[in-house]
Formats: sequence, structure tokens, C-alpha cells
Amino acid sequence: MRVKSETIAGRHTATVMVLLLVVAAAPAVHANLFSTVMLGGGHEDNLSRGFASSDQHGSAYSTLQLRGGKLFQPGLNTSLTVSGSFGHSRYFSQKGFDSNVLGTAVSLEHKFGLGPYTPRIALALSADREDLEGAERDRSLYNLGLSLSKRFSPAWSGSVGVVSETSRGNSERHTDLSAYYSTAQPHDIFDYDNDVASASIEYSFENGNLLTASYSRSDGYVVSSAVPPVSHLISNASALAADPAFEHRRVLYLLKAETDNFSAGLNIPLGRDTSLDMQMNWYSIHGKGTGNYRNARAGVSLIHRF
Amino acid sequence: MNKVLNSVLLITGLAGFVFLQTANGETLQVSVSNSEDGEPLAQAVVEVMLPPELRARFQQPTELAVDQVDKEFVPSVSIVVQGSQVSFPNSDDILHHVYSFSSAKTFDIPLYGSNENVNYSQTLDQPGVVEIGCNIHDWMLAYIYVSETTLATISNNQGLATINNLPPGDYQARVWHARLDGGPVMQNLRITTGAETEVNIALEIGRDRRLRRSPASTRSQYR
Repeated sequence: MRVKSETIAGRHTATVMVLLLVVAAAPAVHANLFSTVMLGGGHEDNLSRGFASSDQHGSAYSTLQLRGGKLFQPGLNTSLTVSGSFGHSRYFSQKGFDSNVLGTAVSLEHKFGLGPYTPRIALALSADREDLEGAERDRSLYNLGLSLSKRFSPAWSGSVGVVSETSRGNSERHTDLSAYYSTAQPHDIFDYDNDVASASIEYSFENGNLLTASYSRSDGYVVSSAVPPVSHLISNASALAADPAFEHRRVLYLLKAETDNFSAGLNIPLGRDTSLDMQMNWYSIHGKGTGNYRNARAGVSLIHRF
Repeated sequence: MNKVLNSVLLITGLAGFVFLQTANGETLQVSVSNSEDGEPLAQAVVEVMLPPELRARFQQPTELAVDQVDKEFVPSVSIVVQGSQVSFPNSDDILHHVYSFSSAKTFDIPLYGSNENVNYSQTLDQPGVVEIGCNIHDWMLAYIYVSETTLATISNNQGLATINNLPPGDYQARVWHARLDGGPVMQNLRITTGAETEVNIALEIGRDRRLRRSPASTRSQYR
């Protein structure tokens, strides 16, 4: 797993270098500033990612995200977006999940011609540092994505994409788990890689309301929390760590899994640069040797672009 | 004596009225509505199509500026007579990239900001509709109707389009709207001396082709 992480991290470094070269090679580059603020809230059913129903705990949450950046046009039909973001999430029913996230992202997009109906391809790289109230969950998350999108009409547009996700734990805190398990599993619970393929479609009504539907399949790992001991989890876990969240003593397991994610959304314009967004996500997680579990996340947010 | 004076004044007045009517031409008022709900339709273009021998008198090219303000084209619908020059200044503090695929005029003015010394004027010398967009901001859309003559106008919020200075005769009116499903609608007209001609035209309106501008959410990720 380490080897794979280092390979992907190397690919990310190479991508950043290529994108920086593109910027450096465009002396007449112009820039457009942009910023957005998003304020929202919702509920997540299985925040603990528990396989057994007794291990599943949900919570309502609120979230604030600020994002700002610059759009560069290094060439005709090519744009480069560099952005930074700050996000804060608060979970009302569970402890240990409140988080602050600092992120940077760069995206290189090319349109194969002029106009809104031209296909476009985008290469995106992002790096987020997540600091949670429960420090064992602190980590850095790197995404490298390639997407292809096309608008078919004023109403319909669609996109497909792949993302390589690399998660690296940042916590050095390791609680002794010998009271529960005698095996000496690694503690790097948030060191894993996921490969994600996705497809989405959008329908825009004449009044501006936007319906979205998407599906993605992720192949990689999940971090599941459970009250120990759970023999079939320990035997399949790649890493273990004490879970700082929840009231009872729990253990986090890093487990191989595939995730199906169906999402549906409705976005209602409240003005030219403001909208109300409603999203529903359904997750079906298929653990390898550990069974299945489900999760659902519903959220509403207000988005304003300056 | 007074009777004679009154008669002279009356004849002079009538002669003057007839002269003014001939010099200024007649008036056409077209009421444009949506055929589905009967509501008045604004931003429809009405042009009176003249025979070739009458066109020269009504073909003085003009100049028009279609500005870019707060990431929108202003105005969104405009008319110029063929041969006119149209410029595309940028009043925003960001870059725009103006283009047209239209058969009436194809052009591309890439990436320029406000106060940049670029040649952003185009001569529109073919009648038709020039649809312009911005390659960076996909929702930006505007239409320039290039008319054969100056006898064209845009309907107001009450759906009324008024054209003055028409010579009497039998013509066709061409009516166009950005949301028309097919091509322009043609309507026969008879312009008579000394009377305002009123015509009602109902258009079958389709979906607005302008894309939505409001921000959408970014995809949530499972973590």
C-alpha cells in the first residue's frame, strides 16, 4: 500500500510540475478572480461507517466553505484555475468529527473549440489538509482527476471522469490496543488509495432549476468504526487505530471495499449568482470479506458566487 | 372676405398635411404575442421587407456597440442595417472571448479586457441574425439582427413594434424572435396613405437557449 501511495504521490508531483510549466510558458497570461461562499447543513446516517447496525451512528451537521481563486487563460480554449479553500464542519450529535479543512486545487481545462456545446476535458489536482477534533483522524487527501464533459442542449449536459484519491494520515497518536487485539497491525489507518470512476447527467429547466443525477464507483478502502472485538474485521483489516469519536471505546479498521454512490440534486437559482442547493447521496459499501453496509447523506446549502 | 381667407387657410393646411404624410411616410404598428398564452412578446424584431428598387433610400449604415457588463452582453437584442459596424467593448474587469458561428457573420475576438487597445469592431454586411457568445462565460448570449433596411424595430414590453416612414404599398413583414423554433415568420402587409396600419402576429415560442448562470454545487465525495 505504501508503494502504491508513493507512486501516486509521484504522479501528483509530476502533474503539478506540468501545470506550473504551462503557467510559466504563458507570459501573456491574464487572470480573472473569483470567490464563492457556501453555507449548509444536513444529516448523515452512518457517520461511523459501521457494518453492524449497532455500530452505525448518524448526526446532523452544518458546514461553511469559502473558496477563492484565479482563472488563467494561457491559450485559446484552455483555462487554468488555481484556487484555495477553507471549510468548517460541525457535527451536532457526535464528538470527534468537527473539522477544519484547508485546500488547494489546480485544474487545467481544454475546450475542443468554441461555444457551450463543445466537449471539454479537464485535469484536476487537489490537496486538502483535514484537521479533526479527534486528532487520530487528521489526514491529507490528494485527488488527481480526469474528466470529460459535454453539453448537448440548453437543458442537457453530462460528464464522465476518473479520480485517483490518495489519503495520508497525519496523526502520530497511537493508542495501545492490546486490551482488544493481540495482533500487531499497523496504525496508519488513514494511509490508503481509492480509484473512482463516475458519470453524471444534468437537466436544466427553463426556469433555471437544475436537476442532477450521478453515479460513481470507488475501488479501494473504507475506515470503519466498531466496538471491539469484531473477529472478521480484525482478520481483514490492513490497519487499526483507536477511534477518538463516540462515547464508547471503539476501534477504527482500515478495510478493503468497493463503494457505489448514487446521488441526486436539485439546484434552485435565487439570483444570477446565488442558488439554493439540495443534495441526496446514497452509498452502498461492499467490504471484501467483511460484509456490506449502507449510508445516506442529505444536505441543503446556500451558494453565492462573488 | 373672411370666408375666402378661411378657405385659403383650410386648403393650405390640407396641402401641408398631405405633403407631410408623403415626406414622413406612413406608420405600421405590429402587436407581437406568444401564441400559447396570448401574452405580449418583447424583444421581437419586426422588419418591413422592401422591393430592391426602394431599398437604397433606407440603407444608411450605422454604428452599434454591444458592451459586456457584469458578464452579460448589453443590449441582448439589437438591430443594425447591413453594412454597419458593431464593436464589442468590455466594461468588465475580467477577460471575455467574443465569437459568432452564424452564417451571417463568423468571427472570433479572443481574450481581451477593458481598456485594451484591440480591434473589436466587425462589419456586418450580410442580412441575417448574428448570434454572439463568450467562450469563457457560456451563459453570455446576444443577438444582432442585421436588417436589409432601416425599416426594422424591436417590440417593447407591451409587445408593440412601431415603424414609421413607410412608403405606401404592398409588402411583407418579417418577424423574428430569439426563441422562435423555426425561421422568421412572414406576414403580408398593405400600407395605405393617411392611415396607420395595425397588424397582430402570434409567434410559437420555444425554449430560451440561454444557459443558466447561477452557481451549482460541487460534487460531494465519500470520505
